[in-house]
Amino acid sequence: MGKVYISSLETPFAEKLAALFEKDGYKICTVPEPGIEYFIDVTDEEVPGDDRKAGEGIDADAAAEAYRKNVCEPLARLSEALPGMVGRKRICFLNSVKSSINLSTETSGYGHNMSRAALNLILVLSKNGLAEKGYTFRLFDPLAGTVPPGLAAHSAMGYFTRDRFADDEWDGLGRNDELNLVVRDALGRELPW
Amino acid sequence: MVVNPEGKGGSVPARTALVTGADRGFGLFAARELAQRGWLVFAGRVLENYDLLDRLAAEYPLVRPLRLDVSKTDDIMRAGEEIAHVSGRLDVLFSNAALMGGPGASTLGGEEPIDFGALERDFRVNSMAGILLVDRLLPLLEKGEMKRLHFTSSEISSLRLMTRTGSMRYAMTKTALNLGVRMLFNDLRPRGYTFRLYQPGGMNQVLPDGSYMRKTKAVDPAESAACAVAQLLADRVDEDRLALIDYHGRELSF
Ligand SMILES: NC(=O)c1ccc[n+]([C@@H]2O[C@H](COP(=O)([O-])OP(=O)(O)OC[C@H]3O[C@@H](n4cnc5c(N)ncnc54)[C@H](OP(=O)(O)O)[C@@H]3O)[C@@H](O)[C@H]2O)c1
Repeated sequence: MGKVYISSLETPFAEKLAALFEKDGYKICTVPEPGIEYFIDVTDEEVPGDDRKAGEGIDADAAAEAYRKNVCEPLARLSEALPGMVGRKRICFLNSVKSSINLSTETSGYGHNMSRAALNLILVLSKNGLAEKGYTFRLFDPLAGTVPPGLAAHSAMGYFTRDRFADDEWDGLGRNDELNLVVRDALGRELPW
Repeated sequence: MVVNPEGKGGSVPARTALVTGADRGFGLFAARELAQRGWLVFAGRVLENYDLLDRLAAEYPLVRPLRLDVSKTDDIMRAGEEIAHVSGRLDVLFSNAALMGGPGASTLGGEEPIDFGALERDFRVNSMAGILLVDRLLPLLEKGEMKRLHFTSSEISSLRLMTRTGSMRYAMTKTALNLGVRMLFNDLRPRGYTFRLYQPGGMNQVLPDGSYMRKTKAVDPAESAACAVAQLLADRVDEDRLALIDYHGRELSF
């Protein structure tokens, strides 16, 4: 039986996603352990005080705490899980349009949104290094507040478990969509960086 | 324009800029470029072992060095007080200071564990500080005529162009910076502010005696600073879009 790590089951989205994996026969764990096939980090932490606009007294310590919660702590957990991962070795994180340099319309929440932009880069760069060791990556926007969590969980399940196109059986030109990490939302749309 | 940094004698005060990370390298040369054009330049310093900024100030009295660790809100506030006292306004913020490496591993799945303390420190300096500077100096920028904000980014910030396979620390700080600048742009562009997000190129590093540590294919920081200041001062036809632009004037994907 395969194992799925989910960083927390406290949100309805995570709870429903866990239920879908369990239905498919996976065992869910919330602490990194050897033998994980799917590492799913659902962190999206807002920190009190990190809600100010420019000129309102942006709190550097609150922003740093948002960085620790949204980047450092998830990466520490992933570092622990990484060597023991098996099978698809799939690493899945959440992100949203708030961290899209192209599309963000935000004017507050600097620590939170900038941390998650940093996370996007970290995952793209890490994917470049880890792909040859068989690790695969997914970035997903559950569209919290717009799409019901149950629907978002089904959407995530499809995106996380489906492999992506590689043309090794076709014309052998070496195109491999697994190497093309992007954020996809719960409606299947690709977000620009 | 009549240059009068002390504001005495009834003449028109010089246009005023704050350049951070001006101890050496690109920031130092950007300060020189502005001073050569008659700007009053507050030049932030942190290094004790470099006297290049003192030498520049001796040559150009319009350059006023001030102690400014950009990760310290108290330093930013003190710099703001000095600028308010001397010129009463800020036309350009040239946010440039950055940490560019140093010890501490930052490769996921690498041999050494990730140094999370170094990761957070560099996020504070390279990503958040530029935002904090705008936040705390906004009253002075509001009084400025130009309302122009420069941020030194890097090609390494580009998610689309990223080909590196390890050492995430520096790169992720500049991606975060770009997003922070987008958020400032969302907020301040409608209020008349204009933005420069600049990729200076791989540059030769300047040593304490002013000589260069040469890298192959690197651009001279003086040359890149001249391009940056030319781009800074020229109005663009497309001020309503945020663009990451390099020293040749070429645009990069985010
Ligand atoms: N050099 C390149 O190839 C390259 C390429 C792309 C982008 N850039 C960017 O271009 C800018 C200038 O680079 P450069 O080559 O001129 O680098 P540099 O010679 O290291 O200059 C950066 C200056 O910022 C200072 N600094 C560091 N932390 C600071 C803080 N907390 N407060 C105030 N100042 C601080 C540095 O001091 P310390 O020596 O004490 O750290 C240094 O004097 C940076 O934003 C850099 O990220 C550089």
